[in-house]
Amino acid sequence: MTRKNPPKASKSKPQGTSRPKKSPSKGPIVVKLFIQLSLVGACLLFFWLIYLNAIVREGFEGRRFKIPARAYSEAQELYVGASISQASFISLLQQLGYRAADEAFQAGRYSVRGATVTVFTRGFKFWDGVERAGKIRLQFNAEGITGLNAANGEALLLTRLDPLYLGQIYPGLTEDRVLYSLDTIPERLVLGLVLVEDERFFQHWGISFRGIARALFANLASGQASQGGSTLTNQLVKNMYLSSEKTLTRKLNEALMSIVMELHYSKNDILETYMNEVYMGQQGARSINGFGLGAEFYFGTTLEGLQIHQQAMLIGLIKGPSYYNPRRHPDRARQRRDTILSVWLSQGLISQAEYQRAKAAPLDIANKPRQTNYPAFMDALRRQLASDYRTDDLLAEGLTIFTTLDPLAQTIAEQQVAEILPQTERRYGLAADGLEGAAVLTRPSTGDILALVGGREPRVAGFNRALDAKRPVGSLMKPAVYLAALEQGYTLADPVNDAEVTIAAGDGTFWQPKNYDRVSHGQPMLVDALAKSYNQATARLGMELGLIGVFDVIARLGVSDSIPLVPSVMLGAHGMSPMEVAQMYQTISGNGFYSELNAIRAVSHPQLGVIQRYDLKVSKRFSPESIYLLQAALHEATVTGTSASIQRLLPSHWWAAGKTGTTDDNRDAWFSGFTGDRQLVVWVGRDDNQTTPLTGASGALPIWIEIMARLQPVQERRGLPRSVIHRDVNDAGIAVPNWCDQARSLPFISGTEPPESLSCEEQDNIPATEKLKWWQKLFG
Amino acid sequence: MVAKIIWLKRAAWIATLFLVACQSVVPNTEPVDSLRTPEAADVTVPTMRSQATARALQPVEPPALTKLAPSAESPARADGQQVVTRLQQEALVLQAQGEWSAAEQKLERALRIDADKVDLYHQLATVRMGQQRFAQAEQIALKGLTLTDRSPKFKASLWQVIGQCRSAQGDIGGAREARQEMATWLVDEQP
Repeated sequence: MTRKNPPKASKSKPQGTSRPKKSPSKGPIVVKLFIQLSLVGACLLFFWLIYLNAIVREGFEGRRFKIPARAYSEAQELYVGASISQASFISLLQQLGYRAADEAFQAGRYSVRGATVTVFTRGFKFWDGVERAGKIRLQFNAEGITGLNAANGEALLLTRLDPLYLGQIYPGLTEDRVLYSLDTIPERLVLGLVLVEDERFFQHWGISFRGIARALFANLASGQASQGGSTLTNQLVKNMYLSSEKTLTRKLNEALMSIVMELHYSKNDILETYMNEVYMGQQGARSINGFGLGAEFYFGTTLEGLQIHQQAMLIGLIKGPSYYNPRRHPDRARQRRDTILSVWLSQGLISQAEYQRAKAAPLDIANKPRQTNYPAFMDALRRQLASDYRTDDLLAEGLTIFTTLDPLAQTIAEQQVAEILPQTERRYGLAADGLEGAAVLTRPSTGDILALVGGREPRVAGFNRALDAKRPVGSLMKPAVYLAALEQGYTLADPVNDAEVTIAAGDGTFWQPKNYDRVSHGQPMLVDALAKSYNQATARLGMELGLIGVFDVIARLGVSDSIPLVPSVMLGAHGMSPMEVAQMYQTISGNGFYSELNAIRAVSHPQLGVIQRYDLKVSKRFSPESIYLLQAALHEATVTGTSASIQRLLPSHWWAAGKTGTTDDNRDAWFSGFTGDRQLVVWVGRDDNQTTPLTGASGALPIWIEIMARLQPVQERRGLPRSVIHRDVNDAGIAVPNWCDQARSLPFISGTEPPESLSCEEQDNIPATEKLKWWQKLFG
Repeated sequence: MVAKIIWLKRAAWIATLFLVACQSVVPNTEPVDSLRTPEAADVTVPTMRSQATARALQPVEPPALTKLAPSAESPARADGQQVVTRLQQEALVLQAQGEWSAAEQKLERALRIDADKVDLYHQLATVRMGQQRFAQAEQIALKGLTLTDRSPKFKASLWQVIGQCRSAQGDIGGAREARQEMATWLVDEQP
């Protein structure tokens, strides 16, 4: 083959003469090369665009809908007769970020004149309806609200404040925003933004060649990339996908992605996302995004409530939230605001008069809002949510969680735990900061968890004692024994033997419970054995009833743990958390009906509306009669028993019931009780489980009393079951005439009332029919 | 089994009818005037289901809370009674429209203002029946019984609801007991 080549080569020689002709063909090669390169380039660009397209779409849609669940407290109900003091009301307003002013001129402001408070409420979309923003006037006296009127003087029957924002469910996420849809954002704010940031927003395709040209010129002139020709779309792309470095590549990507974004989404979608997305400031680790939260963060009001100068300030901020931070650099911020105002004036968005007024207005920035921080409650909330929702949904779906937390009650509970523990330490000569405490406040009628204190430093998220400190409950378990007795036909007047007792524990050892005062009290009545918390009498009673009966009652009260079937459990040798105790006592305060304790009222979805409500569920566990008698005995404890200081320290017309608990060597001090529609469990002890000199009455009860004194629960009418009657009895439990000195009235289930005697001193508490006749005694 | 199902259906049917009757007998509540219409008395037409009932009752817009005229009574501490009564009336209107969930929300709001108003439990139990949640309706009515002994008529109406719920669940014996209880309270009410 190679040999044949030379002739061919010689043949081609003559063609060599045409070589000069080849030089003009260089052009096509370059063109060809150019076309080839362009094709490769276009190909690369095409694939690059596909890549960017994926990023844009995923980011845009993901970001728009990936919003972590936000939790809110219960809202304060306002009506004539509501027992909230003026001082508490004002402190609640402040907690909610309302600002005091001479006149409540915009949403989020209030004014006080004597006993009258005028509030411009912010309004809120609740799960059960919308509460509109508006001005209301409230009158107070010592009891609570005595007058409630709308701005026009019309009487209002019922309204409520917006709830307190508790935070995102998972605090690891730092971006925070309040979503607004474009049609709910004030028009001037939207137009004002477009005018200032991107005048041709509604004309361009995502990039502005004029802007780029201007920026290019400026950058070339200065020799560095310092200016950008950003459209709103560019800014959104930059915020959402790109770093803040100023390179040509980034700029190119930004332009391409902007075009892609404009291809996929409408101008309105882009504008709405921008207004909810834009970075507006920082509070610690929390980044303030979007105009809605910006209005709240800087002015304590809603987007709808913003005045012109406030709108201008927010829009001015976008250029540099840190540089123009009105709290740190008020002069700079004001200049920026005024620039915005003059642009608006020149573009005809505002009138000359509006401009003058707005320009003359001070910056009027609110104090930095306090960040609510209730780690113990949020912990309980997360645990409840975890059983019903997937973490992904809680992170992404933008759910709103309406909780049962009562901010006023929570503040009171936290303060009292934090104040009383040091007092107790001083009084008993204990090392400072050695004691810890926990409290669970609930509403018996519904099982709502109103407040939760997980330790004496309630802001520190750490060991949540209210949920996780499982400590022996001591005498808090006793009501179960007495309830079992009442169910089995015992009466409150029946004598119980309080002599020393030795019980075989079943494993070869013996259990010898002793009374706290190391004294036996003879034959006290059942009611007193519980009210005075006698261990020996309770152990004997429990053994008489049988462990199975007592444990059945414990389970029905709502203690779900598997408890070892040993006698010492009757005196509380079983570890429970304050929350579990609250669940157990809920059944007692709930008149024998079990309701699961609950931290959530409802969950709503931004598009689907309310997706779940936690409505009232009750389930009967005990007869109303038995529970009535048990409540009476627990009430006796607060009058003459171990918690008699309640009677002394709280208003005498209050009806309270409760039980102290003290464990071996005073390691744990408990009190669990209820009054009105409030139940509170308090635990005090040491984290290292060392001994203290405290009892339930000296360690936990003072906290209970102080919290209740401040909560002022409305005292309720108490129902009396039809078959319950009252009899006057003496100390031996004999029905005696009511003029006897020691006569006291006790409730009995009809048919079980004690034998009657005409003698006040009658001691023989045995029904006449069972008494031995004289001849039986003689020969018996 | 089939017979049982048929029976259950019948029970549910009867309960719905009772329920309709109940709506016009809510004790201790000043009924909304518009509900005292002849239609309200005629709703026991056997073919009517709860939603049809609502239509027959001529839906009435619940009056907005904000539009109320001030009460003639002293505005001094009323323990929220007036508010609770108004919420109950609004709930009643919603019940008449078959808006069970909305009615329930009104009542639960009222319950958090006054937790021991026995007729609130009665009304809530009625709503639960409307939602066909008979077991829970019965429990709520039973809890209502523990609240107050002010008037035998409350007890009687609660026992009536309990009886209906038990019937609906197929508990014939329990329903009979409830009716007997109701009767004893009605006797008590005689002067």
